[in-house]
Order: sequence, then structure tokens, then C-alpha cells
Amino acid sequence: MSSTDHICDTEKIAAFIEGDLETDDRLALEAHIAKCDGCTSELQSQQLFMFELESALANTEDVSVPRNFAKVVAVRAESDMSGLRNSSEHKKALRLCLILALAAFALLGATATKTVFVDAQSIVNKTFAFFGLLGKAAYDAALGIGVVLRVIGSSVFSDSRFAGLTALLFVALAIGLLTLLISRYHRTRLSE
Amino acid sequence: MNSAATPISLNFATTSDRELVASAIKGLDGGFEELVKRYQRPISAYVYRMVGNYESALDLTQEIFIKIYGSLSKYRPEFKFSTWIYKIAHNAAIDHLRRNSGRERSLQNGAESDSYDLPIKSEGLSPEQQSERAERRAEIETVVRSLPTPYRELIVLRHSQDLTYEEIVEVTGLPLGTVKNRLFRAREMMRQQFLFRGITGI
Repeated sequence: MSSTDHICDTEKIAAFIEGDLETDDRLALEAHIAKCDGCTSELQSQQLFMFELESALANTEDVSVPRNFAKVVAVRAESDMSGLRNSSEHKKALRLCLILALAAFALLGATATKTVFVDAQSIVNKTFAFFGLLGKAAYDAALGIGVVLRVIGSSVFSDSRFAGLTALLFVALAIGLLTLLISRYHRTRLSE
Repeated sequence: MNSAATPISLNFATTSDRELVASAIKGLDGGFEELVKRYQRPISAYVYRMVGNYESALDLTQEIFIKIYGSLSKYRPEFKFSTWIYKIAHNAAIDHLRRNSGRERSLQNGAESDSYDLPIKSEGLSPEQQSERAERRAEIETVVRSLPTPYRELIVLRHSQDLTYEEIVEVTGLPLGTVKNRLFRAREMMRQQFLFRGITGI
């Protein structure tokens, strides 16, 4: 096979064997193979390889599967019905459960009803009390942080004559620094 | 499922896949079992060649059929049933390989020393022919097993399961050009491996 001859192409020969060439390409390759020993040999080699590969891999009848495999799999699959249930069936089942629960509730009578309501009320009360406590704790914590910040602020600025000026300078410095950082970021992106 | 499996199977012999799917969805006895019987060999062979271990392949095949049963209501009859189940099997096999990626690497690295553990029947051949055939098959199976997964799956679908390029595209979700190119490269890799191993006649 000559590397200079563009038609001596193993991929094209593979496509020829697979019947995947357009008529013009197929005829051109056939004509070329007839006079090229390298391509004839490549064609024979690929054909033999394909034959060996397919005869080794194609016969799936050889693969041993246990005798009752299909039955076992079918029983296992059919016992798991989740996949075949659609949403309307789920809704229907939910409605049925609700009706059954209400019916059971009615049949239990007044005593059971009272017990259920007392329990439910107790749970609701406890939940409200818990969230109330949580809210109060958060409020107290925020209040505490506010007081601490006020004390720190007053100790830093109250003795200084130039407290207002210092704060102004601090803000100006922060704005300047931020501008510098933004412009540097844009310059870096442009240079990339 | 009842004990009269044989007469049911005979009744299903001329039933199409789509009709079996419909009967399985309706919950009719034996419909799904017949579908499993039809596809258990090709699917288990495909899975075996993907995962490289017979016991794991059987377990995974079972999982695949359970998944298929669970998805039957999603099957659209305008598509070929075999392509649809190969797609499920393909996804399951890829997931399995991802979960066991360390083990797969060791399988590929150890391909040289791995014995061929797939139980096969070799009826009607002389002992010499059986031995020669088994040896050649083992060599080819070992080389297939040593291919990287993206190439191995295509070789198995094309040359073991006899799927068309279009079916492979549907199963794997790869573009047609990629499928053709990878198949060619996979075969070239295999031929190189045979040369490297000094196996002549291929």
C-alpha cells in the first residue's frame, strides 16, 4: 500500500466491506483494488478478521442462561408493581385511603375523637411554644449584638474630635480601593 | 404466573413483541415471561461482554428485565421493541461499569491472564474442533474485553448483537459519524492486538 496513493485507505476498505460506500466510491475502489496488491491484501485481511469476529461473537445461543431464568425474573418483576402504576391510579389509591381513614374515624366514636383532638391540640401547642421560644432567642441575640456594637462605636468615636472626618475618610478610602480593584479586574480580563 | 407455563409459551409463539408488551401491562399471565424468554440470551450475552463477568452479567440482566417491566407503560409502540430494551440494557451496563470503574480497570489490565469463564455449549463438533473453536473464541473475547468501554460497546452491539448503524445510534445516543469512526478504530485496535500477540490468520 503506498502512502502517496490517496485511495489506499484502510477506512475506505472497511466501509466497502460494510457496504457503506456510495456507488461512485465503491466502483472507484473496486477498480483500484483490482490493480493494487496492497489493497487486495488489506481487503482480504479485513474480510477474514470480520468473519472471525462475527463467528466468535454473533452466536448468542451459546450463552448459558439458567433454565428457569425467565420465570424467576418475571415473578420478581411482577411482584414489584410500582412501574406500572400511573398517576391517576396513585390519586385513586390516595382517595380510597382518605375515605377509609374517615370511615375508621367515624366508627371509632366520640371517645376516640376526643382523644385524637386532645393529642392534636397538644402537639400544635408544643410546636407554637417551641417556635415562640426560638423567635424570642433570636430577638434577644440581635438586641445584644446591637448594644455591643453601640458601645464599641461610642468608645472609638466619642473621644475623637474628628470622628466625622475619620468616618468620611474611611468611606472615601473604601470607594477608592473598590474602584481600583474593579479596574484591575477588567484590565486582567482584557489582557487575557 | 401459573404452573401451566408450557401451553402459555406455545400460545405466545406467534405473538408479536408489541402484543406481549400490551398483555404484560394488562397483567395477563405469561406475557412478560415470554418477552424475557425471547431476549434473555442476547441481553445476557451483551451484558456479559460489557461487564466481563458471568455472574455479574446474570444479576445485571435480571435487574435490566425488572427495569424493563417497570418501564413498559413508557414504551411507545412506534419504536422497535428490541432497540428499546437494548437502550435500557446499555444504560444499565454503563451505570454498572461506572459504579465499578476500579474493578473494570483491573479487568482490562488482567485481560491477559483472565480465563474465559462464559459457559458455552459446543454441540456437534469433534473434541479437536471444540478445543480449537473455544481457543479462538477465548482469544477474540479477551481482545474485545481489553478494548476501552466506548469502543467495546460498539463492537458488541454491531458484531455480537447484529444491530444496524441506525439502531446503534438510537441505543447509544451517539452521532452516526462517531459510531462509524469508533467501530473502525476499534477493529483496527483489535487487529493490532492480534498482531502484537502473534496470532496469525486474522
